[in-house]
Amino acid sequence: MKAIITTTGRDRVGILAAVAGYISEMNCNVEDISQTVMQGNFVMIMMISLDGSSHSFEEVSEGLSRLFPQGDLTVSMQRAEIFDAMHRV
Amino acid sequence: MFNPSDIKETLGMVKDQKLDVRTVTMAVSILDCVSDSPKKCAQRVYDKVARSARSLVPVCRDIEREYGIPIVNKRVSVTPVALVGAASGGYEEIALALDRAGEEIGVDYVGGYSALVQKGITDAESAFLGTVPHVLASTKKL
Repeated sequence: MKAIITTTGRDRVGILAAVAGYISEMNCNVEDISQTVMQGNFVMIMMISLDGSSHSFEEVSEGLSRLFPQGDLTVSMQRAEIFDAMHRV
Repeated sequence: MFNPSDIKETLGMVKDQKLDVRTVTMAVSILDCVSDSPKKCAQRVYDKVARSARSLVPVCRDIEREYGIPIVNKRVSVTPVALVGAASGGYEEIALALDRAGEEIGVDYVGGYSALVQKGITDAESAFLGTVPHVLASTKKL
């Protein structure tokens, strides 16, 4: 299963490292990544594959939501099919 | 692999334009709950709805979480009660049983407290329609 992780919020050091480190701990593979910073606003979109992981979607997703307890960054994880369904005929 | 602008647009649909799934409805046939005893009929209706739709709300929540799109209403819809209750006349007992089952499984609405009268109305259906105001006032999920 593929999923899209979206991270948004105020830019600071270590956001990519924190998300990627957690994904690695969960034994998920990062397949693609896009990152932009606009006027200090950080937006990162990451496609991951859960195929090699023994963790469920729910476990990975819940861990992600606890990754930035300071509340300055929002992380969400959704199945990739929803984005295909919205934009591909 | 993926187009970031497509993803941002989809996220915007949910966050800014409030895209949601308005309702997921599970249809449950309660025709096999017919009985000439109002109590027995109501118990069968409760048992069947509570048993067959018990996973509806958890499954909808999983779908919401996995796809990131809210599902506003989770609903169960049953065979028109005017048909099922005609043999016993226990329409209000069935309504209360449906209401209890709806509470038990956590759905937002239970549909089906209705009659098919578009081609004419029988005495039983007329009696049923007379119960509608009281039932709607005394139940939460119907």
